[in-house]
Amino acid sequence: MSTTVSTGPGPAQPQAPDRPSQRRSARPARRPVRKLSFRTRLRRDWQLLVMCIPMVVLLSLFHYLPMLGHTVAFQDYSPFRGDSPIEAYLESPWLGFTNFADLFADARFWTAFRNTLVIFTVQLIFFFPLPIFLAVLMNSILSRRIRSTIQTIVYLPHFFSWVLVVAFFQQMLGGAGLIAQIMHRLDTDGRWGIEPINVMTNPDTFIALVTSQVIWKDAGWGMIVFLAALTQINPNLYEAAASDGAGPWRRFWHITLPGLRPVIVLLLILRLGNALSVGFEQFILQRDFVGARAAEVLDTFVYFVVFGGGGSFSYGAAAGLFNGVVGLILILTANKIAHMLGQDGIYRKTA
Amino acid sequence: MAGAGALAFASGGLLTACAERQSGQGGAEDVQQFEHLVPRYVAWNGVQLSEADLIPGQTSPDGFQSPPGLLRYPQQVVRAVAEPFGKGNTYTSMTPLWAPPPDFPNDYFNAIIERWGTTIEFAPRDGIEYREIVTTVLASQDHPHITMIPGWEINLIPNIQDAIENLFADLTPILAGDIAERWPLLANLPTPAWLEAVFNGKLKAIPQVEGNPFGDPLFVRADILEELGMPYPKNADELLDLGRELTSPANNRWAFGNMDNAIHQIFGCPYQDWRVEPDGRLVNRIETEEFKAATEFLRTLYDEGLVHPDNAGSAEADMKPAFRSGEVVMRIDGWGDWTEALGSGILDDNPNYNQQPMDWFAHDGGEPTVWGRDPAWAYSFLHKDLSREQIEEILDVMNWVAAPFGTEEYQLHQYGVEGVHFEFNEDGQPVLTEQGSAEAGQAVPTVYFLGGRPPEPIAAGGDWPGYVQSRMDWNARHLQYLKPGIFAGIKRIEPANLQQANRSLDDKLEDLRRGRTPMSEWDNIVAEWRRTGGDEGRAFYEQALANRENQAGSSE
Repeated sequence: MSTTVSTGPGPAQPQAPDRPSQRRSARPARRPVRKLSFRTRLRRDWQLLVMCIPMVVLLSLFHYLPMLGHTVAFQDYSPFRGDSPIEAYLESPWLGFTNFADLFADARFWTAFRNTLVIFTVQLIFFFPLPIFLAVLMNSILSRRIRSTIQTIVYLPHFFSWVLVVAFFQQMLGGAGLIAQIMHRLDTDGRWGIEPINVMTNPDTFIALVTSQVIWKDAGWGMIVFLAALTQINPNLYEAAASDGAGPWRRFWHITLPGLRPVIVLLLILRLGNALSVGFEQFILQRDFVGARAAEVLDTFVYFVVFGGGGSFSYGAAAGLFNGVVGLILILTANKIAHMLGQDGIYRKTA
Repeated sequence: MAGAGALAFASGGLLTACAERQSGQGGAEDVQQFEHLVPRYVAWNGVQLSEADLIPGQTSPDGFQSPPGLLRYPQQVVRAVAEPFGKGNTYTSMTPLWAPPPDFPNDYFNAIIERWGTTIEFAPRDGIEYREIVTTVLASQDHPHITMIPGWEINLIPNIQDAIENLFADLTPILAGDIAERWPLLANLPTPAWLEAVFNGKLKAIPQVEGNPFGDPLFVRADILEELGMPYPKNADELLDLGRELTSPANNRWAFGNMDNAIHQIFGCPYQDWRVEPDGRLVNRIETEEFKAATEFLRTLYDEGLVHPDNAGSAEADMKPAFRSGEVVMRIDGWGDWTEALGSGILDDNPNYNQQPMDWFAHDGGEPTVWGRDPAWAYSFLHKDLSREQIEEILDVMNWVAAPFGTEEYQLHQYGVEGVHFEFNEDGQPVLTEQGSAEAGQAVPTVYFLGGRPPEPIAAGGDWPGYVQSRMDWNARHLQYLKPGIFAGIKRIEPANLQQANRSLDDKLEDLRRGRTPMSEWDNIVAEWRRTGGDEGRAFYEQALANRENQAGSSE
């Protein structure tokens, strides 16, 4: 079997055609571009196009079409007018940029905006690198059994809902939680002046609290992508580097990190695109613990301006649209910067 | 036609600039002028409760009535609706439920539907997220035939006035005037509750009647106070001292759970947020000295660590489990919390458990302030596309649901079928069987939330020693203090800007109570509230009060 495969095409090909291909590879970027006609390209690619159709339909129906609904941000929209949702939309009067003008004059909005950006930045610095290091550490464990056990344990919290995570933190660190109780027991007569901690209701440490919750819940899960990327690195490189005398740090710096770079950049850009939505549930659950000034983020702001009394769909939509536009600008900018640094980013235009 | 002009909404600042939001202006109407739009009250006397078991209710000089108490379940129940009435049609419904959803269909629902001859496809939805659910369903304009919306949610649904006007049937032509012949049990619902169901000059819904005139009570664990030999407080200082004595984190015990509205009452803050000053000015609670004092007092409670830490974190934290386990000794909650606790079998686990409503007192020991509540607490709307015959068939169902305490209908939807879902114990009290707990049990509101029920006597739902007597005594002591709210008889949907300003104010008050902002911020907070919607709200309410005055003047 193996002989027929390897020898099969070999002798059939003459030497001569090799030469032009060698010439082409000498200047790879400058391929003479002759534009193929639409018909030719269609004939060539039609299977690929057919394969794309379901996804295109799905995206248009459930993503692009609903996006038209963002236009209610420019209306005084009431979904209860007319005889159908479409009539309600058509009958709602247009306001132009009134909702946005109100939004930018709203102190609550700027509180939420500031909180969101601060929380995002802190999480970018303290949460984002963790899965990378966790993946590298995990990768260095040789025993398959130990590795898969640890992996399972660190993945697990990802599958808990935020309600559960917050309740868990409350039961542990809250004012009536386990740790506070132990402290009370240790110091029943107040002799040592032990003050029970209550980090759950302290607005000053709220950022640290939510960041540690995110780390506890999702660091293990975030590791998966990097573990997959690590398997793509050729192990021969490590052997070669080791035999040339490179220590673990040098191997990490010169082999592991460059190998992971495309994935890191990709995830970083996607993360930036979501900069203005740091999560809804985690914050709405803990908003009352520390008050709106520390815990109001844009997602909870949008919720309250619609459902918090005296709400307006249009006002909420305006805030949501603002989030989306800022996210889009961030993602495009980050991608551009990635290109300038020679990375692929999330996409690259091809000729 | 003169009435049509008067019932135009009192709008808070009509602005005609084209790019100004027109929705969310709110609306307030004087309900007294609507008596001709609602069913004429005709008492239905089909049930005669045994005099021997009855403690009569009372009427205060201000016209408030407290419900009667019943010491024993009636030995004989009366059948109010003789025959199945339905035409075999099927209708959909949507009601809130604060419990796991029941299996549907099951024997309990089938037994009821069989009695109707009309099928209702019950769809109880999560009560906690009901506002979001009901808003989304209504926005699809593909809503069920019967939609029940609680009063505290209705004000919070964006553009709700459009929905009420446009999505639901006008019931005035069918229900106004004399309906006692066809729907005697609906005619038995009190007029004030019906008046609350008039929106924009049309009868739009069947009300859920509020039979209890008292606002939420301050509950106390009387057994714990008794065990520690501590007396009930009679003024704010004694309350604070009691709080200090009771609180002992090392023993996992805190004096207070949620206290906000209890302290507001103790300090005499205005019911429904507003009051008219002697000089005729309308002021909001936030502009009164009483409210500021109450906020400072609450701040002290939090500052000294007398409030359970989980509540200190969140006003909405559920303190029920902590109260029942004794971690919290005092907290304000709905009256239903009492019956819920007793119904949960807590006395089996802790025979000493004794939950009591504390007597209201004033902060300085003077005459207490006792808040009341509105005469209806929820509204059932019908779909606008229903024909007159269909609406009448649904009203037949509502009529059945409105059968009062002591009827066989009431017993059927409250306890299910005798022998299957419940059995009488030796005292003649119905007790749910295992099947009854599973099928009826917590799902019972799914049936009676369809439409209104008349006020019912205070009665025990099981072996609850002392419950009826203790509640009747409390009512008797407090009835004299009930005062009509200044907006009594005004149906109101507040302007959106006032609601937004209140929402924002709530966050800031929370920061003040919990010591996250200095009290010196007070004046800024009030100014901000006035600027962003408070003054607009004042104008709105002044207009509403003036309209009522004019109305009263012109009808004389």
